[in-house]
Amino acid sequence: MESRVAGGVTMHSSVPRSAVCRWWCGVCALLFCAAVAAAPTEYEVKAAFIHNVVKFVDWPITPATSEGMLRFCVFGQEMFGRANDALRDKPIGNMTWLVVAANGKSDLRECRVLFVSGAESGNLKRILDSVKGSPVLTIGDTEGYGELGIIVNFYLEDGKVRFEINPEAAKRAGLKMSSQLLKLARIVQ
Amino acid sequence: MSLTASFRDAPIKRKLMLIGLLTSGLALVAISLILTSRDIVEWRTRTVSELTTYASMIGMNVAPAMLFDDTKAATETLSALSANPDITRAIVLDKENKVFAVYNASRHSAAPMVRPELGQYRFSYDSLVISQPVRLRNDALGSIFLESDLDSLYVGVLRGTSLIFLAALLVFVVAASFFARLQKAIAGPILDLASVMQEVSAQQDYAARAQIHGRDEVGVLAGTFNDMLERMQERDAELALHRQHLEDEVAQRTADLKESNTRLGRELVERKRAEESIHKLNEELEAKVEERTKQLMDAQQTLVRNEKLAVLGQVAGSVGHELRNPLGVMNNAVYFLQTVLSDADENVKEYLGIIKDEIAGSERIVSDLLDSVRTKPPHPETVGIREVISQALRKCVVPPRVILEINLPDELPPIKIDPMQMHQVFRNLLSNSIDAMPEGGRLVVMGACEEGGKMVTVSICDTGTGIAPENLPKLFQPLFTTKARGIGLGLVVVKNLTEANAGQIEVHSVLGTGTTFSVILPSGL
Repeated sequence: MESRVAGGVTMHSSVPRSAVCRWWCGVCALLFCAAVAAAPTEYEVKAAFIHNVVKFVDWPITPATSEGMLRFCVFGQEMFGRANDALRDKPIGNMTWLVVAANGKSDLRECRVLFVSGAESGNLKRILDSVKGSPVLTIGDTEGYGELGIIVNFYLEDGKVRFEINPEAAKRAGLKMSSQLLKLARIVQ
Repeated sequence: MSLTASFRDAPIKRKLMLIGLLTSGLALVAISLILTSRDIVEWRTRTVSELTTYASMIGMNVAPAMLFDDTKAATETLSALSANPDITRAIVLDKENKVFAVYNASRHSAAPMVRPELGQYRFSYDSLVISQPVRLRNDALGSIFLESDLDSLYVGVLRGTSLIFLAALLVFVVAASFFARLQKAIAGPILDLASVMQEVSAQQDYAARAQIHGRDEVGVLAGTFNDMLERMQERDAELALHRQHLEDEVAQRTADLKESNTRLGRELVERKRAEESIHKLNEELEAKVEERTKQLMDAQQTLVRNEKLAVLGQVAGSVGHELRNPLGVMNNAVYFLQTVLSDADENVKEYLGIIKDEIAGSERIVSDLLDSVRTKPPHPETVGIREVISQALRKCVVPPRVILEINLPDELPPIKIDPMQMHQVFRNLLSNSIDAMPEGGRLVVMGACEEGGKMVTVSICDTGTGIAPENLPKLFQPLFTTKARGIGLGLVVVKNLTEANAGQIEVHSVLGTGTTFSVILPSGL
């Protein structure tokens, strides 16, 4: 049996008694390490997921997409924090991330990726309408968002971040989702 | 026997088959081996290539799952490998070489999987392990290891190899059957030729001919052989002719020889006969020669003796003549003394008698000596035999131990002889007979008439000591005597005087029994 410990180290629990001392030494060392390099937060993982998902999505060629920027708009409560910095350091091809905080006044159609926080569930319909017909990859992390029209919606399963995809919404947005991505995701209508 | 020797003695048919089959068999085995090794290499390459393809595909499919840390999805992806029953195990490692996902087929080795370098593969005797990196758009996400067992490789290779060898076997069988038919074209004519040769050799049949199958070397050989046979046949015929001729000649010669042999035999018999007659003649000749030689020798001896006797006669004659006179004087003197001394004593008378007797003996010796060397010619007178014998007996002294018988028949005719000479003859004979009977015996004087009265035989027989046969021939030779006292002239005188009186003398004597002297004298009628 394997158990995943924060920090990504796999430990074997069925250790012979003679090695118990060594096991405890190992645990102490890991805790010390964790204190120095902190385990990734939920939003850091989500940021990494967003980064990966983008790799499996094809945008139609538009003036907006042809510029060398990947505009990542975060609508509502800013949750990513430090994760944004990580994104900025990881360009995809020749495109670099540009993290933008968005609100009701922003032109959301300029965004490539639009993250809608859970707090904006009341405005969701209006937000979605504003980007309707535009090649904007909408992402959320709130239960039910997928059914409501968000293309990629994160959820937690067994403590792990998973995502669901609404292919219909992607199609409406003119985005092509890779079948490999679809295979990994929970499909919602 | 070694392999090479057995091959050398094998029939040509078998040799050809062996060569053909060995060559094609070796070629087929070589081709099969080449094809099999090529197959094995190809199967290996294909297996590696297939497994690499699988690894790449699975890597591609598992990459997103790794990206999103979705072990479940990765495991699901790996489970698609069950479609290929050869793949026994698969392991996906993340960047830190930690196991991300695992696939185990229902049958897999319990041993830990060997992990070759990235992008390499490793073959073991029963498995192939291949490793490939897992990438997504040039980002290395980890690595994948696939293990495949080699059963299907082996089966495939085995199947391919069996197929190749089966095909090779088939080709070999077809080639063998072709070769069996084709070798007849080469071996057939040679076998035909060999059988004809054997037939010719065994039966001496030069009329046989080899069949010519074509114009190749064997055909040329058969043709040449046939030519040779033809020539041999011709020579055979010539030889037979010669032999017949020779036989005739031999028969002729034999007949000739037989004939000459018979002739020779005949000649031989004749020659033998001639030889026998020659031998006989020779023998006769030899006998005659011997006889003549004997006669000659006798004549020679006689001559020598006569010569000796002549000399002796002359000496004896002169000596005798010279002795006779003194003897006469001595006799007269004794007579005078006897007359004068008539009254002398008995001793004187006796001595005088002795002297007179000895003088008479000496006179007899002298007269014998003279008679033996020169016989005086006889003066024959016709006298009676009885008278002659009486005269002779008067001169002899017959001792009392000797019984004298005179058996002279009265009818005996008178004989014509010199009485003086015949007195001496009988006196000598009677004296000898008396001397031959020192122990006493019978002295018989017999007379007989022979040849119708022409001859008269007077025999004087004694029962004395007899004469040895070897002494008989020498009896009448001068100076031969067996007596102690005697000079060997008595019988010589007997013979000379008898023959001088035309008579003959014969002797018959048996040693120890007695002797008979027969004097044959002519009768006076």
